[in-house]
Amino acid sequence: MVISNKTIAAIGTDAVSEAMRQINPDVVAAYPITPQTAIVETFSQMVADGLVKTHFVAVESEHSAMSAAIGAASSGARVMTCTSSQGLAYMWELLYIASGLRLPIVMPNVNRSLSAPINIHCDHGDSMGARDTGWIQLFSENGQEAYDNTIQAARIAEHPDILLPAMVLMDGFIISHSIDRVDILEDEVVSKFVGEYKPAFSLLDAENPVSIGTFDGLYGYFFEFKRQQEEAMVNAFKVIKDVGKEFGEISGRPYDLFETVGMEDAEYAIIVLGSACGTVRHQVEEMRSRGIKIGMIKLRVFRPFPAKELAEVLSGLKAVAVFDRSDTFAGHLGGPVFLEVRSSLYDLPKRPLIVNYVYGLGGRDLSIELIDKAVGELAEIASSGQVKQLVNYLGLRE
Amino acid sequence: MKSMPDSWRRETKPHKFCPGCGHGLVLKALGMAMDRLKIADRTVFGVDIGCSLLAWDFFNADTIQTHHGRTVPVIIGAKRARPNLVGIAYMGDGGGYAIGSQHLINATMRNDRILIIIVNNTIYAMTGGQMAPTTLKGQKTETSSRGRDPKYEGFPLRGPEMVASFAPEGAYVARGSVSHVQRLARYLERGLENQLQDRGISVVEALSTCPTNWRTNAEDTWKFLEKEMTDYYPVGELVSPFKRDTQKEAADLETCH
Repeated sequence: MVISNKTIAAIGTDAVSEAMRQINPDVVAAYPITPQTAIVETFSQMVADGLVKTHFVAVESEHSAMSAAIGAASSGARVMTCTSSQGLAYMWELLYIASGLRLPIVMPNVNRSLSAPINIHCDHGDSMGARDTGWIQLFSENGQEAYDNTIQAARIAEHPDILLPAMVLMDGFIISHSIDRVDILEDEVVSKFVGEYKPAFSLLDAENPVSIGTFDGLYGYFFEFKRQQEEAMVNAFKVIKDVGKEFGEISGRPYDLFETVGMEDAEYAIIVLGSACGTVRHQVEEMRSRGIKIGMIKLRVFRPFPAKELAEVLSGLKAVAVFDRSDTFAGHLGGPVFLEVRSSLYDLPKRPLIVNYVYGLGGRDLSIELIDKAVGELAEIASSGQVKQLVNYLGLRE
Repeated sequence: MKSMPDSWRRETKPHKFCPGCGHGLVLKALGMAMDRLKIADRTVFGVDIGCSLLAWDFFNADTIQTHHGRTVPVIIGAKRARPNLVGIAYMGDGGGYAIGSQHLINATMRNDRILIIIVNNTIYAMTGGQMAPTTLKGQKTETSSRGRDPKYEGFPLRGPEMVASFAPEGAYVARGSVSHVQRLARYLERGLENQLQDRGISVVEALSTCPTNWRTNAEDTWKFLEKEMTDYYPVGELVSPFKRDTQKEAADLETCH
């Protein structure tokens, strides 16, 4: 088919609003929070201007936003909301209810650090806090990917083998408030790609009344429900790959669980997600041009976590550095990405050495110099075969 | 009137609010009330999320940053732990009437001995001017670009009237305005006195201005405050445990600025 994209200059939040308009959800309920607010504003303007048929509910809190989203999704509607940081934290109990009820709500979350002290800038502490809530999590490197991931998230979440809510992550300010070149698909192409949402059950099906989420006590099926959620996450690997491939056919931009740079001959590598991928890729490519055998893995899908595929790619390496934009406060055990990667490598017959770099908390910049510092240490680990410090804090004033 | 109340922290002035913002006047009125009662050294001042947080270093008083809508329970916690403290919960209409409205209701029900100050500028200002519970009918905001439509978005919330409707014995409820700073200071002083006398909860709303997000010049800003806002949100004491004012005191209060 002929691929037709319209190129625009847009800040990340506007790119996401545009994707939301094209998806045309039945209901959007949201509450303003920096730096997500621009999505709500632009989208509510689109509603007011009649550019989208969505019912927009300006609720009084994120707790109510997710509650309204759950109510609407239980009624068979295609539903979206969006938030950041404290807003996501305030949705906490509802996140589990949305996934437990298997409601395919799609939610862009503009990554921002969690209080205290209060800070409005980017880190991944908010969405990493929600990593075990049963939501699919897709990370974006830039505005283009935030747009693309939002459209794909609708298809992934609503797939009958999955039926799980999905979060689209984008770094606060770095992506949300930076103008970037974004290729936008035709409305009809997106509309056809996401298709019509036909829920198997809904509250408004008067012919077949159902009760949703009711008490399921000690002798009920709670355990089985949870096991099924996990099964849906397993199914998601294939669906995310299929949807990413199909999206490539309509856009020229195929997606996978993760992306690699120079891994064919790399001796050591960096694993990173979010907007930092751009800076790391730049530096990795520069180093490779000087003959340094370094590679990079850009992790796109954090939930489900592609442990098997990652282990395959990492198996021949001497050393791996995992970059984390949040911490787990587990007593120097490392950031959440590090924990997952380290665990993924456990069954390999010959494991690469592994080191963790926590960076960029509260929006602190990840400079080229800091990447160079980490790569220097990584090269030292690869040659000496020793990890002196397992968890390192990159760019910390100390 | 002193240009700067003694309870203000002078090295943090000029303050951080936008030009034309009403917060400085509300905090001036509060500073005057704190000076009169000489309580700065035993006050714990809680600021919410929103523009109110810019007051984090405004006073020579212990200040705590709370999370959105939770300033009331945080201050209640401090007050219950140390009843001799003077607890002030300072927030906007978003924190007070939207995300934290449950606390306003439950704190009033329990008659917690704190002063709650809700600054009403009819919008969410910190995030750039979205519709709030207090946005007036027909008022255009970033999320009500054709004007607030009561059919879908309801009518503006009159917070003090809501609190007054079930205020327990000993509660003090009033609405002042930054257009009458002396009067607002008097209401805040009474609210604090009410707490010092261990009578009950005090809730004072302050009508305020936001030219940045209203996109108004000085004249239109003041007109919106004194006409449109004050018409819908009448200024005055709604519930007071104090002995009725003498006619002269009441007249003074009516006319003072």
